[in-house]
Amino acid sequence: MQKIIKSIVPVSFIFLLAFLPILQPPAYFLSFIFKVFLYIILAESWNLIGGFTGYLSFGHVAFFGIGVYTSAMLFQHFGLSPFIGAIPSGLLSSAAAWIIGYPCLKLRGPYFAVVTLCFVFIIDLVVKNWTFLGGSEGIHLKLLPMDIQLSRSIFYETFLGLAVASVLVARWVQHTKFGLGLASIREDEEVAQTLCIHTADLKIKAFILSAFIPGVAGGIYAYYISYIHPDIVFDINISILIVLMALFGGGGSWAGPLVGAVFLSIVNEFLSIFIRPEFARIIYGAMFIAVIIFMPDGIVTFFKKWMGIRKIQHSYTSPVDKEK
Amino acid sequence: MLKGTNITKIFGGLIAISKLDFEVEKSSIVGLIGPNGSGKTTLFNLISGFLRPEEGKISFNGDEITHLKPYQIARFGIARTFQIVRPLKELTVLDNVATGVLYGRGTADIKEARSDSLDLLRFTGLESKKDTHAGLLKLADRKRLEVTRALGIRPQLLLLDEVFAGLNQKEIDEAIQLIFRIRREMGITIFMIEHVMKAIMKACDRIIAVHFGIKVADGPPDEVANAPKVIEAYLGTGYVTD
Repeated sequence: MQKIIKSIVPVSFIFLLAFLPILQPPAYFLSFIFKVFLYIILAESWNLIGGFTGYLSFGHVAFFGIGVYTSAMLFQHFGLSPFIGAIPSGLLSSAAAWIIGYPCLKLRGPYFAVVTLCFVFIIDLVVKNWTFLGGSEGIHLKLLPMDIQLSRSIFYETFLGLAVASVLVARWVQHTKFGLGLASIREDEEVAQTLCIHTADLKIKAFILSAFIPGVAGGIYAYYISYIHPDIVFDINISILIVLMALFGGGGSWAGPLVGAVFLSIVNEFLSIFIRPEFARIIYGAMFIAVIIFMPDGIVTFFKKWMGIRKIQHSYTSPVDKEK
Repeated sequence: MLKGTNITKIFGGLIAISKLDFEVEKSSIVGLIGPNGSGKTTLFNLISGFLRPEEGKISFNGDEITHLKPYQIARFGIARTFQIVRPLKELTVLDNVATGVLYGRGTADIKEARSDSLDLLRFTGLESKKDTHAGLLKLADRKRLEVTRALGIRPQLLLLDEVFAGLNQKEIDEAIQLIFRIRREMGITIFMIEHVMKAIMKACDRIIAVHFGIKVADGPPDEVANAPKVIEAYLGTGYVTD
C-alpha cells in the first residue's frame, strides 16, 4: 500500500508531462524540455559506468554520435524508420563499447578518463574524413512526411519514454546483485575479486549497457535535428556536461544524475535568458566549484545527510537544556 | 588440503620466497610467523592469485590453482583478509558481507543475501552495526568485518593476514574465540599470519616459521618457539641458548 502511495506522485507527474504537447505550448518550451530529457538519458546511462562502477568515462558522447550516424545511414540507404533504426543504433554503440572497453577497462582513474576522451577525438576524425558518412559536410536527412508540430510531439513523447526507461534501468541496476557487484568494484577492485567477482566481465557488461541507451537515443535524435555534423554529435562538451551533471547530483545513486540533469539544464537556461550569457557562464562555473568543494558526493547525498543530521538534532536534548 | 611445493617468487633482484614447501591439513589452524619482510604476505598473495610464482606449484584439494585468477581461486573456496583492512567504505556493513554472499554462494536475490549476511554478522558480533557505513567503523570492528566478509563466500579455507595487529588484549581474546568458533561451527580450515606470539601460540595447532623466504621451522607451537633458528631469526645468534 505504502509503495502505491509513494509512486503516485512520480507517475502522475510523468502523465502530466506526457499530456503537455496537447496543450500546444510554445515550440521553444517543448524543445527545452526535450533537451532536458536528452540529458537525463545521457547522464543516467553514463552513471552506470561512471557513477556506480567508478570508471570516469569522457567518451559517452561517442556512443550517442555512433547512434546518430547509424540510424541516419540506415534511413538514407534503406529508408528505415527512425524508430526501428534506433535499435541497430543501440546495438552498434554497444558493440563499439565492447571493442574499446576490452582493453580500456584494464586502466583505472585518470588513464581511463584520458583514453576515453581520445576515443571521441578519433571517432570524430574518422567520420570527418570518411565521405561515405558525409565527411566534414555532414548529412542532410529528408524530413519525415508529417506535420512539423506532430513530429515534434512524437519526438517529445519518445524521449520522455526513453528518459523514464533509463531512470528505471539505473534504479533497477542499483538495487540488484549486478549493482552491488559494480559498487564493490568502485570501492576496491581487488577486494571484489576476493569475493568471487569476475570484475573484468562485470565492468564490460556495465559499459555495454551504458553505451546501448545513448545509442538508441542518438538514433532517434538524428531525425530530430535532421542535419547531422560531427561537430554537433561528437561534441566533447556534451561528454563533459554529462559527467558534470551526474556528479553534481551524485554518482552513487540513480537519483543523482536525474536531479543533476534537470537542475543544471534549468539553471543554465534561466541564467542565459535573464542574465547576460557571459555572466551566466561565470556563475555556472562558480556553482560547480562550490558543489565540488562543499558537496563532493553530490547534492542528493548532501541533502540526505543534512536531513539526517536535522532529524538527530531534533530528538537530541543536550544535558544543559534538561537542567533548565 | 592446501599444498605448496618448491615455491619461488622473485621481485627484481630480491628473492622473496625461495623453494618453500608447505602444507595445511583440513580442519587445522596453522600459523605463519617470521620477522618483517620475510615473505609471509607474499605467500598469501601467491595463494590467493594476486601474484604468480616464478617456480613451484600450489594445489588445493588436489586441483592445481597456481595460475588461476583471484576470483577463480575465491570460487574454489579460499577466502582471505587483508593486512591493512580494506572495507568497501561507501557501502553499509551489511552490504559489504552481502556482496560476497551474492557472488560467492551464487545467491541471486539481494534480500535473501542480506538475511544470510545478517546471520553471519550475528555470528561475528557485528549485528548492531549492520547499517553503518563501513568507512566509519573503528579498527577492531573493521577487522571483524574483514573476517565476516570473507566468511560470506562460504570458504573451506580462510587466510587471515594479521587480524590481531593493533587490537588490545580484550579484543585479541575475543578474536581468538571467534577463530575457534569459525573452525568448530563452520568447519573452516584456517591459515593465519601473526606477529602477536602469545595469541598465535594459543590459537594454532601448528606453526610454520619463515625467514628471508626460507622455511626455518615447522611443527607444534612450543617446538617452533624454542627452535634455535627461529630465535636467531628474531633476536640474532647471540640469544640462542643450547
